[in-house]
Amino acid sequence: MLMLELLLMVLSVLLAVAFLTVAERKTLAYMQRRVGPNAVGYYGLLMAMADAAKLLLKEMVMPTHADKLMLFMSPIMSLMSALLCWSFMPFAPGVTMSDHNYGLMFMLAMSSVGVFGTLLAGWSANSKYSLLGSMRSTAQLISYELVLTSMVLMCMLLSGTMNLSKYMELQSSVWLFMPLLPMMMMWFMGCVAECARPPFDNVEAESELVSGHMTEYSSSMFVLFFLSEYASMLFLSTLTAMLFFGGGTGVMLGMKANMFAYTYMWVRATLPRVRYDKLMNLCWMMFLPVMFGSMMFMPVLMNVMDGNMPSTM
Amino acid sequence: MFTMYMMMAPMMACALMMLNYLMSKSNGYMEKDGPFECGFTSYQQSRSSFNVTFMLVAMLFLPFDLEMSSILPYVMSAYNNGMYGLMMVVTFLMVLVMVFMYEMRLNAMKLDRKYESKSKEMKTRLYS
Repeated sequence: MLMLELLLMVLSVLLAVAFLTVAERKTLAYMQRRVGPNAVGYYGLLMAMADAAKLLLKEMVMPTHADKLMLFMSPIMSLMSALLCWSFMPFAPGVTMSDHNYGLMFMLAMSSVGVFGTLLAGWSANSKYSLLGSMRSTAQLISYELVLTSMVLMCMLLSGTMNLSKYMELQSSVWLFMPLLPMMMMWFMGCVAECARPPFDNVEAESELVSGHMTEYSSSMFVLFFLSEYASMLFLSTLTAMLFFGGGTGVMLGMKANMFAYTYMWVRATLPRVRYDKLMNLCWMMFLPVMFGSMMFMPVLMNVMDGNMPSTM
Repeated sequence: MFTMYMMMAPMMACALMMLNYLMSKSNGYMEKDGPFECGFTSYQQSRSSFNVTFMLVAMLFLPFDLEMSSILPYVMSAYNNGMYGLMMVVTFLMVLVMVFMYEMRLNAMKLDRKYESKSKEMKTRLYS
């Protein structure tokens, strides 16, 4: 029974990721006035399966001078970090793999481990494109991780718990994006940058670095990177729905998460790429100072608003 | 269930790679197996040096990440430890912000390619 539950959850995560790729291709296609995938299955619904099958039949190219063990390990590491993030995500209050009181902390830890995957991938492949790509992506990921982490800390400050199931109950009166509105926008931009999605996808800017840290990867190892990228994208949009927009049970949570997942594609279809140093400056010079300011402001505001403040002195 | 999931994730990845290894054929030759390059044979200069600002960013990340983890206990117990905790957290952040301001004035995080001495500029701004 336990095994069945586990399989159900893993399968739903993987299928969601698979269909997200089809959804992205369709959305981008219609935004560019073309049809997109429409041959496989009903209106191209099975395109993800066809893609996976095609990639699994392709040759595994091993670069000659590569560090073979690291080359194998790094996609596994990034997939693990993306999948393990899901283990504490409640799909309804309490319906999660592990309803732990420190779940959110584990999530933060796991999402930071993902950096190692890209870093090792770039270093081990022995190609200058992947090396440069991984340098860029590492710097970008760790910088934006600061923004995301401090944003999560702010949510913890307001709700006083790390158990994600409790966030749903706590936000029944007011969704957390209201008191945290300007920071919520920063959180969204940070999410897009953390996934290295198009307006901030300098790590794999096609015209400069062929495919970033994934240049030397082919077939199933590329599939693992691909899966982990989309899994973390979907995870971050679910987390956005969870932390700031009241979560929800089952279909409601799914709808909210889908709305945010859609915005990633929308942003990709709309905006041109920003320059790399501008992106880093945005993080260090704009986001972090605002973050520090609000980190000081929010506790003070909470204490001022507290009715029995003088008695606690 | 969580332990099982934790074991299942890498196993699934390994199974996928194994499946691919068994199903695909492979005929490698030098041009295919060499590092990727646009239209010519690679010079194999990939283990080269990179810009030191990336290292700087990584080093600057450390204190701020430490700050996040040391502020975590306050964040969890903000409703319990009243004015004393508030004073502590504000003082702590104030010190951090001062250091951060110093870094910003020093242009430590600038990633652009102007190689000029930045310390001079800082000195004049401090005393004037």
